[in-house]
Amino acid sequence: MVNQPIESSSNGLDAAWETVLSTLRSVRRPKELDPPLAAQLDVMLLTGFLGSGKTTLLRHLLENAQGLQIAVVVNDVGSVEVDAHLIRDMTSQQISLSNGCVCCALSDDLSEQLKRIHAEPYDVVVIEASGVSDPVNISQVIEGMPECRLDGIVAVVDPTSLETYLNRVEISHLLSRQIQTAHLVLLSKGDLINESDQQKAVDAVSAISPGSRIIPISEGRIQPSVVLSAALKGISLLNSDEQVDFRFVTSVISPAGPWNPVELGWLLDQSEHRLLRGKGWFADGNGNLHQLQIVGRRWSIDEWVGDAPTELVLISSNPDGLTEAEAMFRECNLDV
Amino acid sequence: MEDITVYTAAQIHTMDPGRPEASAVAVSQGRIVSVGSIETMQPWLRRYPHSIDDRYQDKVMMPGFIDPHTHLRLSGTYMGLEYVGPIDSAAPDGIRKGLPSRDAVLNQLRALAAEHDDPSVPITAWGYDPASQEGHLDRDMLDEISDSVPIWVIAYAPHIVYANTPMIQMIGVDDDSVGHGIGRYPDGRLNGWFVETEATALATRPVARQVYGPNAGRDAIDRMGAVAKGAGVTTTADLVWGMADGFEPEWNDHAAAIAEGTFPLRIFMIPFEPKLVREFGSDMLHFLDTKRAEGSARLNTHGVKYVNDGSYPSMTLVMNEPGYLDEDGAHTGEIPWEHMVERMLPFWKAGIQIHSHANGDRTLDMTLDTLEALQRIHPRFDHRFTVEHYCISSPAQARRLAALGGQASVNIYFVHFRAQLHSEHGFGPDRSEATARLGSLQRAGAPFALHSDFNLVVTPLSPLLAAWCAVNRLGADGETVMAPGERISVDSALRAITIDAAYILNRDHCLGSLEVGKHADFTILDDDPYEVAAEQIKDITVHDTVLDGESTN
Repeated sequence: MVNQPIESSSNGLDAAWETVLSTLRSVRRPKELDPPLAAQLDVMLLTGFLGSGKTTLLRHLLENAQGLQIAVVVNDVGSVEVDAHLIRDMTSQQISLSNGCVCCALSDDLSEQLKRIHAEPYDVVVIEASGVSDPVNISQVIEGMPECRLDGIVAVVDPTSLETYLNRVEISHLLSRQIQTAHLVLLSKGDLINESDQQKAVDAVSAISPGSRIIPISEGRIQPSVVLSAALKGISLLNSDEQVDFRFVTSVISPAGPWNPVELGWLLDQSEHRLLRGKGWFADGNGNLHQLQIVGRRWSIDEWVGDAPTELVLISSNPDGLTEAEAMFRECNLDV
Repeated sequence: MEDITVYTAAQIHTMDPGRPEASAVAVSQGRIVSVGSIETMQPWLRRYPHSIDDRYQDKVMMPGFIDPHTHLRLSGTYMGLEYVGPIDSAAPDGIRKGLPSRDAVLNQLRALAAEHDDPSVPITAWGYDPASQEGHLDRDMLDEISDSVPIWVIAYAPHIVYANTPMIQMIGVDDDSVGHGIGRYPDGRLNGWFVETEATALATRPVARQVYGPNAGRDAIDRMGAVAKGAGVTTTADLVWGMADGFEPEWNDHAAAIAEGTFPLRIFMIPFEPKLVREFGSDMLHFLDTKRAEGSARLNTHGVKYVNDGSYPSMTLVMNEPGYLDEDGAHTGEIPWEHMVERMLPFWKAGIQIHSHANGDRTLDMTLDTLEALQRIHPRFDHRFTVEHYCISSPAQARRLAALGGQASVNIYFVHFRAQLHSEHGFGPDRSEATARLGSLQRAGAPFALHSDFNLVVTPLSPLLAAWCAVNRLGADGETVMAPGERISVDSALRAITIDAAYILNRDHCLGSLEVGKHADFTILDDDPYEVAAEQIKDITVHDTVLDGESTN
């Protein structure tokens, strides 16, 4: 008989400790010198197992950037296979596209690389986490950098292999952690799976991470505004002409506020809203502006310097979820 | 000649095969003057003032043990956090038992709080698993343990930190704080949870500076040095010098610890090559020369280190056909293999020893190909190119390693702690059983040493336990002999933690055996590893160590 306690510790313990250590390491310096919100670079972390469809999604984002200048950081630039017509310049380390986007290879020092990207006029950077890494490690590097703001963690899950992977003791913990850490879960390969199998995958993800925002996609197609809050700049709404397999519903709350930020945060924590995303500005009782951003269950409220419309755009995957969320914001009575 | 001290012992194993046993060893100014008996060393004792120190007269003396591959400074942070997880975990003092329930965790924290009297220093623990330990912790629960000492617990899957009231105050949040992941009770009062990235980072900031702060490296050296000493180690090597906090800070921490007498070991700092190249570029050889000149017999540098695949327990090493049982999680190091010869060549030509990490047999093949290419370009003798870890290999690879003049520093602990597990997970039965083929290395004539890699992998640090693994090769079940033909003799195993380990570190001229002129480093044992039953070697207790002729106790 194999010693059971050691069996259950198989690689999970090492990985867990590594993550604790990276958390400790990344927060050694107090993050007191944060630049104003607007000067921070949005970072989206893309996670998912090997073969889950991360690269396909990245290719779609790069080719359909809708005016955003996206910097993508990947392990292997060559694997992305961007449409050759879009390529302006190419080296083994970097592909520059004619639409202003760039795809570059992950360097050995991520924080230095992010500082360099921050100095360029990019709207958002998307980092592809290695298929076998715990995204918390990378998210803590980002959390420790004043130049950057973690926009969200998006996991791509392949529903056709999910059950098999979850039954493999040596990888199930890692896959589960990727799903639990994600703010949005994209179920890839919607074109390769029937409805009942897709529902099984949705149930499996929900069991691992109750309340997950799960979006089925095919061939990597998704509107940038769902996965990148930078695409919601200036409350530009979704492009309804775009051909997608999955429809979203959106709504604008206007005017937003006045709300007490503490009470609003508390409301969002308690609520079981089903929003995929929300972004906008609201005033507090003193007339000061705050920016609110929502990605799945995650939210942030930051004081805002300067002018902004007191409006909030909400995105949900179904009309009921949107109606509930609208009601929550319209009817809330937050002491101000 | 200054005064001579003569240590006597019930038995002395010199590990010098020409003069294997003795009953006394004479020491002056940190060096061995003579080995033999009081009678044989009279020519010295008649000429110089001397004293007889018989404190070890009932003990067994050996050369100080050498663990040629550790990460003491890096691993010290393990010690800063108490472990409260559900499964067994390796700790510096051995395997720490998992705690089955929330009550067991609370009891453990209560015991810690009872001994903890400084309210400015939080109790820090990690590993809590709400799923298997019966639900979350919260502020009120932790306040019952202490409402004065801050308590900080990070979960096993570190998405949540639990804190009591003093800790919440130290974090600097209150009922009016805005932030996602700051947990509350139904009445809006903070419940001591800090969930997900931003909130865990917020909650971790006050303890990070304590647990992994500017002094963490030095604290780690002191603590882990004591752990190594307790296992009988007098010499070790840090195999990723520069990787964590940089070359100078890491060196300086060791230098300070040695100067202040808190680190009872000799240590060699082996630079992590990618960091060396990034930081110093074309000045790298000059930098190493400078540090060698600055170094001493207690703290010095040699060689250069490459990491070229993953680890054995995380199943990320690179294997030949037929590969992994299931999903292949293998990963290679940051230097592409096609650049390896070019990267190693400047060091090779400069006569610098190369330590190259290879866990998987595919990586070992690539390593041997690289060594062969280096030999063709610039033939060298006595280069001591060392394969580090040497977990999965074939007899043919052992012979090729020997033919190319290479040697191996082997993590033998996996044979006992992990190999049976990996028969079913990852490597399959054949390669798991034949993990760490010492017998093959010996038959091929390749020199080898045993190391722990402490504490980057889940194994303890104990040279006698390593020797026990090498001699017995018992699996985790305590019964199955794993690849019987790969066992080695007690003498070979003890050489692999003394004189042969010194050879691996290119220090066999001055360390590793008790011979005239060598550093007077001894390990003092309560029993004789040559006399006890082979299954009991690991149970022998270490009584003391002697460094430069002085007891470290």
